[in-house]
Amino acid sequence: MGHFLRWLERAELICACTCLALAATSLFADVFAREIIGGGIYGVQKFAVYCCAISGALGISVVVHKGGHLRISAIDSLYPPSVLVQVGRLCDLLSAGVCVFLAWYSAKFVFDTYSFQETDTILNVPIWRIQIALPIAFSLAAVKYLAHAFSPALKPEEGAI
Amino acid sequence: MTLSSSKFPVGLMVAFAVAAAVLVLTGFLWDISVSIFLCLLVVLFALRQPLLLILAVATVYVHLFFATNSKPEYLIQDMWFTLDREVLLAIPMFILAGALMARGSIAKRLVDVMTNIAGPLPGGLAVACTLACAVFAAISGSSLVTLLAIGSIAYPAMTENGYSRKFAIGLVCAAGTLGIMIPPSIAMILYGIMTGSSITQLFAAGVMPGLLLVLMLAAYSVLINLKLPTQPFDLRQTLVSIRKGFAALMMPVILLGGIYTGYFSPTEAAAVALAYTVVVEALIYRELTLKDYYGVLVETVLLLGRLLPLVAVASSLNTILDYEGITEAWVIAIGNAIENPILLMICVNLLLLVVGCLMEVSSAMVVLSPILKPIMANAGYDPIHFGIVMTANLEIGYLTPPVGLNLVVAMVAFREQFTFVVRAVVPFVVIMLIWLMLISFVPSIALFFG
Repeated sequence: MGHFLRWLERAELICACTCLALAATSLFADVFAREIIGGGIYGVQKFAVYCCAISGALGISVVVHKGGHLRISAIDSLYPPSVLVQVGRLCDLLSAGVCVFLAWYSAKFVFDTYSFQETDTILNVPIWRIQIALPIAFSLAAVKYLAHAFSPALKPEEGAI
Repeated sequence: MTLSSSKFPVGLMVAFAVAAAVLVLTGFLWDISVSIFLCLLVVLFALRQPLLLILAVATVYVHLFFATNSKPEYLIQDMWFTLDREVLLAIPMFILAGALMARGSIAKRLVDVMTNIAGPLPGGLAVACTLACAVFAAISGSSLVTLLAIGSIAYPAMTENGYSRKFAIGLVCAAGTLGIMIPPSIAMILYGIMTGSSITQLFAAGVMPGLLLVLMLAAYSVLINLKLPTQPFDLRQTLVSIRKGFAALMMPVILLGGIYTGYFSPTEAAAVALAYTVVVEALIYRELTLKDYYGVLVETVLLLGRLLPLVAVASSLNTILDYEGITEAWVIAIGNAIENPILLMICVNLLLLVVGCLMEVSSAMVVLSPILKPIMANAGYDPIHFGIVMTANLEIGYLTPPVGLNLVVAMVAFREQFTFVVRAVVPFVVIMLIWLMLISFVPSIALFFG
C-alpha cells in the first residue's frame, strides 16, 4: 500500500508541477509578446487558468499525503496522546466519506457538462476535460484518507505551510 | 474495563457536550435545522477535520436545508466558477516567485546592502534586518517566506554581534510579518477576490501602513540597542554591496512600479516577478540547481492544493449566503446591535485578533472577509481601508499562540523553545497593537495613495 501511495503521489506531483510550470511560462510569454512584439498570445490567460485549476485540484489530493490540509489545531491538546491514533483513524474515515461525497457530486457535475457538450469559447476545448480533475482529485484524496485510516503508519506527520 | 483519564478522549467529549448545549440552547431560539447545523460544525471541528471539508459540509448543508430550489451540485458548480477566474492566477505565481526567492540568493544580497546602509546606527543590524524584510516583502507577498529568507541570515548575524537572542528572534518574527502588509500580498489578493475589491487599490493602501510599521520596528530596535557598538559608514563597501545586490533591489521597483503605473495587472506582475526571479537566480547569482527548481514547484503545488480549493469552497458558501439574503440580514442585525462605528471597529478588531490566534491567515481571510466587509461598509468604513485593517489584524495573528505560524516556524528554524519565542515577541506585539489602532482609526494612513 505504501508503495502504491508513493507511486500515486509521484504521478500527481509530476502532473501538477507540469501544469504549474506551463501556466507560469505561458503567462510570461504573453506579457513578453505583448510588451516586446506588440501583441499578446490569444487564449493564453485562459490556458493558464485551466493549468492552475488542474494543478490546484490535483493539489487537493497531493496535500492529503504531504502534511495535510489546513485545519484549526488549537484543540488538539485536548486529546490524550494515547487515543490520538484511534481518533486519527476515525477522523480519516470521516474525511474519506466527505471526499467520496464530493467526488460523487463532482462526477455528476462533469457528466452534466459533458451531456450539454459545453465548450470553452476561447480555446475551443470541451470543458469537461478540464473539470474531470475535480472528481479525480476528490477520489484520490478519499483513497489516501482510507489508506491512512486502515494503516495509520502510512500517514505522514502534519506540517505547517 | 475502567476509564482512565489518560485514555479518555476529552476533546471528543467536550465537543459533544458543546454540541449538545448548542442544540438545546439554540433549539429554543430558532429552527432546529440551525441548531443541527451548528452542532455539525462543532463535531467536525472536534473530529479534527480539515477546514476545506468542514466548509464543504457546511455549504452542502446550507444548499440542502436553508436555500430555496438548491442542491449539492451547486457547490461543485460554484467551486468551478471560482477556479475558472483569471484573477486567481496571481496567487500561484506569487507563491512560486516567493518560494524561489526563499531558496535563492536574493535575500542574502538584500541583507548585505541594508547592513552596510544601516550599520552606523545604534542597533544597525536590527534596523538592517527590518529594512531587508520590508524590501523582501515588497517582492515576495508572504510572511513565512520573508521570515525564513531574511531571518535565516539576520538572526545568526545579530546574535553573533552581541544582540540578545530574545530581541533578535522577536524582531525577526515581527519584521517577517511585513510580508503580508507591504504589497504584493497574497492575503490582500484573497481579500480582493472574496470581496470584489480592487487588488491594485489594496496594494497601494498597504504601502503606508507597511512603512509605518517598518519605522516603528526600526525605532524600537535603535532604542533598545543604544549601548551596542556601531560600525563606521564605509562608502566603498556600501557601493560594492549595492552593485552586487542591484538585481535584487530592482525587483520591487519593477514589480510595484509596473502595477501602480498600470503597465501590468497584479496577475501579470506576478508572472513578471517570477520570470525576473528565475533570470536573476539562473543567470546572475547561479546558486540554484535543477533539483531546487523542482523543489520550488512541489512546494507551490502543496500551497496551492491547500489554498485554491479552500477559496473555491468558501466562495460557494458566500455565493449561496448572499443569494439567500443571509449576509444582508447579518449586516442589518449587527448594524442595529452596534450603532457606534468606533465601537464596531473595536469589536471587529478584537474578533479578528482572537481569530488570528486560532486560524491561519489565508483561511481566516477567505472565510471572514465576505462576511465582515459588508458590515463595515454599512457602518461607513471604506472597503479598502477595512481590507488593510483586516490584514493588519491577521498579521498580528502570525505572532500570537497557539497558531502563530511565525512562532512555530521560528522555533523550528532557529531551534528555540516555543515559550521562549512567545516571550520574545511580546514587546513587538504591543508595538503592532499600537500600529493597528493607528491604522484602524486614522484611515488616511491606508488611503494615503487612494
